[in-house]
Amino acid sequence: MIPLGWARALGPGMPGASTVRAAGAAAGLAAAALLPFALGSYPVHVLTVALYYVILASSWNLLAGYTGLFSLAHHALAGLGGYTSALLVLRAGIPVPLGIACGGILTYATGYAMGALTLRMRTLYLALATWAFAESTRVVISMEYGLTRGDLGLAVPKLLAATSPRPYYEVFLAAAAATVAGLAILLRSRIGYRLRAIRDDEGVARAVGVNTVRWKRFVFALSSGIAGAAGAIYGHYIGLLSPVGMKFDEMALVIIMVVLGGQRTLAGPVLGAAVVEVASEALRAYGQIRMVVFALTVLAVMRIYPSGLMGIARAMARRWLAAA
Amino acid sequence: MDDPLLILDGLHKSFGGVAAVRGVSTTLARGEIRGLIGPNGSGKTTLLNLVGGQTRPDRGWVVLAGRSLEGQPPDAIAARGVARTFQLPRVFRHMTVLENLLVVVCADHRRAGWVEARRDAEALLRLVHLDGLAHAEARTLSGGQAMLLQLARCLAQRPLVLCLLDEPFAGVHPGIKERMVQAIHETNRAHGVTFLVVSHEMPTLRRLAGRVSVMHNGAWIADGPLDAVARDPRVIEAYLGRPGPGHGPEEGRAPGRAADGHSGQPRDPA
Repeated sequence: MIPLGWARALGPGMPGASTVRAAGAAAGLAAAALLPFALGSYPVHVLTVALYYVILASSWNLLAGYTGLFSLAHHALAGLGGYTSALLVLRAGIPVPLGIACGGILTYATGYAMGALTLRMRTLYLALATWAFAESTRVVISMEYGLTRGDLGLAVPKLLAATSPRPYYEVFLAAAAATVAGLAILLRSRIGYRLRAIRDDEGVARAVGVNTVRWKRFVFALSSGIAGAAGAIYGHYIGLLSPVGMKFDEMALVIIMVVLGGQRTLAGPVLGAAVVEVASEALRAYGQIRMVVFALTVLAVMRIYPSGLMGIARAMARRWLAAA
Repeated sequence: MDDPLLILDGLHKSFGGVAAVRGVSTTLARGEIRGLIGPNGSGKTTLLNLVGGQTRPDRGWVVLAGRSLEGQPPDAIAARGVARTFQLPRVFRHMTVLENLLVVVCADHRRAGWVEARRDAEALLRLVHLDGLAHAEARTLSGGQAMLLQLARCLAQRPLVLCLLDEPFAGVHPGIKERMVQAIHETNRAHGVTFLVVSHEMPTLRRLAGRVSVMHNGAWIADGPLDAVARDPRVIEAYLGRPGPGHGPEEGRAPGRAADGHSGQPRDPA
């Protein structure tokens, strides 16, 4: 019975739990930072891309998981951030880091506008409106050939001089860690309570004095800004942007990562992004059939363990602690 | 007690062609506990929505402590000190019982420190006897416990001058009902908070409210001490659909005593 009590003390919001978790996260981060020295350049590249998806999935989880705003525009915002930065660097000659910042700022503003326009929309209507925005953005980028080179793709200046993916890996690791840590702080703050309240019952949140209009705009803007900045870094890593990368498949991938990993958990999207991206590379030979496999896996997870891999991990930890 | 806390002046609200509230004018004194009764569909909830800002009136004004609430969204009205519960209990289902109260402290207009907020929230949970469930997720609560949590959430709001309670006792176990009555009385006495309580439970209202108002078809038809109101022929007609002595909503034969709490008609008066 004593270990069970201890397991319960690890529940959400307990001071002991946060210390244990922070220590675990720090150890994990240190291990992740050293990982590329043990791996070849291709696996490091795969992990770098996985870290990019960690940022996308985590920021989408803030919007859709914690706040309940199921947006389908996250991939388009990442693409928009990528194009913004690339075009500013190419045409205006600004330094790459400044371009990345501009990509983040522009998508923050776009997200703010989207939040303002979709304030009264929920669920299916919100999904449709954001999906329409995403598709329009992709079509415009694809058609504005003179500016974006359309489907041919835009060659993007690199962020770093290095040819090895290792330094990029460290950049993405730092960005992903900053994102997850930032979200952890945000969600523990008063703002986090407001967002979770909006998800559960917007009307009641409003009735107790939460300015739901302000916070919905804010969360849309913030998660879009993160996606845009991540998309910008990604563009300057891959070196090529194309509207093909803004297809709905990308959004589906992000949703799969979050649902599989565990919505409304901080570690869920991290785990989900890593598992899905690595599995996706491992199964590359099977082509599009991978998406079918992922879709079926997600269906199974949603049916059996709606709380995702994190939920499974927690249940196992609890059982293990109870048995010990 | 000189100037009233709440003035409703000619409030009118229609949905499509149906007038839900028509021309309601009344005042609530500071520190008053007022009951509001009336058959189903008589406009009681709409009236609460008009005061809480969930619905905007077509005509008329709501004036709180001398200042109009016209055009104010619910969060601004909450910042003025108005709190409410809902007929079907609405709690933040994926938050713990304690977190449900902490949300209130995290409202935009609040500036209380975290430690103080947590202490106040825990005190409130003790007041409504939910402290044993502080870390349970709110979706695991029973209907009656959710009602209690709603009430505690209401009482956690600051500033707090007016509580609008929408059928807080419907479907609630007598023991829990007792706790609610105590919590309402305690808050009313200690902080001078005004309550407007919609209920079909005459015995409970008798213990709580000095005055009772009656709505029928969107209109305010009677006002006064419960016993006087229950004898009012207009009220009897509203409940029974025909005039007749001795069939009013008297104590012990409360309208809506039906277990679901939704029926506005009294049971067979025999």
